[in-house]
Amino acid sequence: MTKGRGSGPVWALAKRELRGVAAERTLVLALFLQLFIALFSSFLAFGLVALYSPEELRGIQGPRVTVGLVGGDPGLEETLRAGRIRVISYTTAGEALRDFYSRRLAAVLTVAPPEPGKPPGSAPVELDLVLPKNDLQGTLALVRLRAPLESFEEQVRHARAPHLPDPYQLPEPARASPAMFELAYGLLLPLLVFLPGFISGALTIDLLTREWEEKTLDLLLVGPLTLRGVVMGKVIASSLLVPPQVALWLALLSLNNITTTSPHLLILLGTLSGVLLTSAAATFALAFKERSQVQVVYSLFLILAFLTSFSIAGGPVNAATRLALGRPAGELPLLLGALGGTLALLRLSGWQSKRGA
Amino acid sequence: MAAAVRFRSFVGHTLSLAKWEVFRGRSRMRRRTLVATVLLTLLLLVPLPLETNRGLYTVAVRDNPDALAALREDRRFEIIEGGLERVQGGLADVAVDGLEPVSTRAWRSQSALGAVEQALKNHKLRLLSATGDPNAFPVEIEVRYLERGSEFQSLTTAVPGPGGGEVGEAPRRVPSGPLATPGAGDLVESLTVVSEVTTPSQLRPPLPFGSILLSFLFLFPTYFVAQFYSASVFGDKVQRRGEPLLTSPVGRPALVAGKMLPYLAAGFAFTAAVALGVYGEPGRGLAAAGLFLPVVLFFLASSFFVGLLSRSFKELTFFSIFLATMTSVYLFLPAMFLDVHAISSLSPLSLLARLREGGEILPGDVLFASTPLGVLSLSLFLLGAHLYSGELVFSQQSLSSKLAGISREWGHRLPRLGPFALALVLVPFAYGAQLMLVSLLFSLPPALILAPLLLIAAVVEEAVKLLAVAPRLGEPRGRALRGALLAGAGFWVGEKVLLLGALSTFSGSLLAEALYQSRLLLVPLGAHMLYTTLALFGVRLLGRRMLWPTLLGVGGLHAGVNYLIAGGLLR
Repeated sequence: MTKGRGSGPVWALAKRELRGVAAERTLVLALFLQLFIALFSSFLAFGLVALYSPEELRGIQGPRVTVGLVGGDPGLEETLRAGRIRVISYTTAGEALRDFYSRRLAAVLTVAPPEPGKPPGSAPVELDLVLPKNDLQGTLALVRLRAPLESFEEQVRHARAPHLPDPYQLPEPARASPAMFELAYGLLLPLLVFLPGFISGALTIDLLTREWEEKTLDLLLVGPLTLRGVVMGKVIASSLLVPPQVALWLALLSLNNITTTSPHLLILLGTLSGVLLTSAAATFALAFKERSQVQVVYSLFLILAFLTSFSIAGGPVNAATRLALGRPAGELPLLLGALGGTLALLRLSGWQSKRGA
Repeated sequence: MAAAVRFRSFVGHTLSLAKWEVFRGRSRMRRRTLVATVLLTLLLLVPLPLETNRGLYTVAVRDNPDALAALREDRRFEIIEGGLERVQGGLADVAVDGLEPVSTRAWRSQSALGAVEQALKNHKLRLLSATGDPNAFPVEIEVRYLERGSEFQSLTTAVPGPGGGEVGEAPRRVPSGPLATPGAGDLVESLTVVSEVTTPSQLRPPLPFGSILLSFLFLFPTYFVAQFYSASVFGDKVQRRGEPLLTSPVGRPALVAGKMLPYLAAGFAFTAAVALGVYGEPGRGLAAAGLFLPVVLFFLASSFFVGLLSRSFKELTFFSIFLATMTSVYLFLPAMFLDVHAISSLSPLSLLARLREGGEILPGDVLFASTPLGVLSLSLFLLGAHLYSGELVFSQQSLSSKLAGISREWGHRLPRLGPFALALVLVPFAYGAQLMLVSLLFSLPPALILAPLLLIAAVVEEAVKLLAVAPRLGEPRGRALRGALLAGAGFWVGEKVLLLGALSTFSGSLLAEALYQSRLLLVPLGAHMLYTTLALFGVRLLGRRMLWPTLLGVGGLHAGVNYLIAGGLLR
């Protein structure tokens, strides 16, 4: 009887492993873990957006900013008011600062008087902006002041140097900043498409190293399985866990208004990269044997792979983004390439010849 | 005298066990793994360009060379020829048709329009700076940050009241004297902490984001060291190395400490090496590694616990990744608000970033950042050490029965005060979970999350207290009642001790205020005892199957009372 012919035993092994995963509630843990990572990254994103452009979250943080203006310039004052900022004028910095310290003002803006002796319009207009340290109010004031100050700069520039280039600008300012959209589709969605694969890789390592740490590999090899069959069974078991998880994340995302145009292709992308990662993990497991050492190498590999895929135009991360938006550009060759690479890895890794332990 | 002898033997045992752990470990680290690790780490250091969001938006452009030039400079855009009809046909997200922008009301289209605006603005700035004209940027802004007193300022306290004035904000720290005089400028100069000159388009909040991301470098080696540690703890279990040790005359504390010591040293050495690379000078490098030590300790403590609890490699992997993620969240979230909100001092990473930026670090900051992690680590080691007994560690029981086992163990050792002591030790975990919740949610609108937050917090507390009296579940009514009262009291005491240290500093966010004020002032000891009694007798009557429903019910009651109180406070 030749060993390794026929896929029956491989499937039987895969099924046994899946039952083990279900019995230990590993999957529940894995899902919980991913939810947490997603929550973390979206919170990070949310926090950053909230800090950089609170206008995005206008419904939430609505307080108007009150700014003290010292040594005022009528043009500046008007521009500030047009930008929905409450302006209180002061004649001396001392009075303004006293109100600043009593928290009636979020910021104090002082216009420096033009230097005597110089012709007006030769030196830049100097503004002095005082903000509270370590205080959300200050950040809010800073972000709110940016647009009015830019338009003040524009006025001064226009008055002083009309010859400077003035290319096309939108007739009306856009109503939304794109930050949230870009974080959702550029970061969160790809992360969730690839996370199940990351985790299945780690799972493969545990399934494999357990066999030689508990010295059960020989028992398996006595049966109709070759080492290659054992590895295949474990890779298959872990890979099978990927597509339902990707599907679940896509469904959850669409509940949050992050809809995708071609979910089936995204699931395919996630699954293929999952197979690729589990195969790589199996190869590492065979090469390094001891569980924690394999996990270290795999983690480093994973970080490297993820960072690299961010820097390839049309790479996996980009492909996930564009597939989700229904505007694929040459993703099909990528998918086929990934499949080919996986098959090559499966064939060439020499699992057959090596014996465990 | 006897104490000194005991201490000396403790140290001796600890050191010899540490030595044993090191030599065993060295023989197991393969050269192949080292080569691969070094190689992959070197590859990670190669700088890569970022290609995120390439081709995210499709823009149709017609008869507008300016816009075309601007959009071509931005990788986010896929540009097609056309105008209005492309948007209507769904082929483009947005169009610039001549001078007219075309968009729909969809999120995608609005975001694309916003991105187009950004691209146009950047293009203009580039053109302007290329001219070199002195009037290209005619407005200069000097930004200074002044310390306004150390009180945390939540957003809500500055919301203008109905009359247009500020709500309840009496002047707090008005520096008297010179400020009111015209010479105030000098004082401003002397109080200034950060100052920079910029143009309006360059105005940015002072986020030292780079420094914070850099602290990731510290986390990586720590994570790996922790992984080896938990694998070793787990290995002792699987390969039954631990049993002979337990029968030896070495005490359990020495056993635990000795095993941990080499990893702590390795973690410190790695972080010191990273810190040296980041800061470039030995003094600050060592200081950074020292500030980071509580983090290393916490990673090790949780790995120890996880190694003891997990029954298989799979569980070990998932628990450790999960804990690493949780810990990273706990460390990164507050650090993001460095120089923006004082909640940032909760994380040692903020201190590292501040050290790099050259800011000053006060002893209070160090204490504030290290205490929660230190207390949690200590509790984990304490609990773990109790778990480190033959029948518990080496069995394949489920997680919850192991936890119940710890509880039983405490019950045996302290027949009278077991529930009290255990509840006391468990307080940091409830506290840690609540801190996580608050730091995760504190910027969401309070009205939305207050209720779920209070509910989860209450259920966590009830679960912890019930765990503390679990062994008395089947005992006579009187003893069970006494146990419940003791657990409630223990929790109350632990809570108060923690509050003494933490409340004075950690009261910034509205939610934290609602969470803590309610308990500090109004929910007395009796409430804690009552809830635990209800939970314990609920489970006794309804059976263990109804454990979670009962907890949820009692937690709901607890949360409801808290909510009423918090609601009253907030209004």
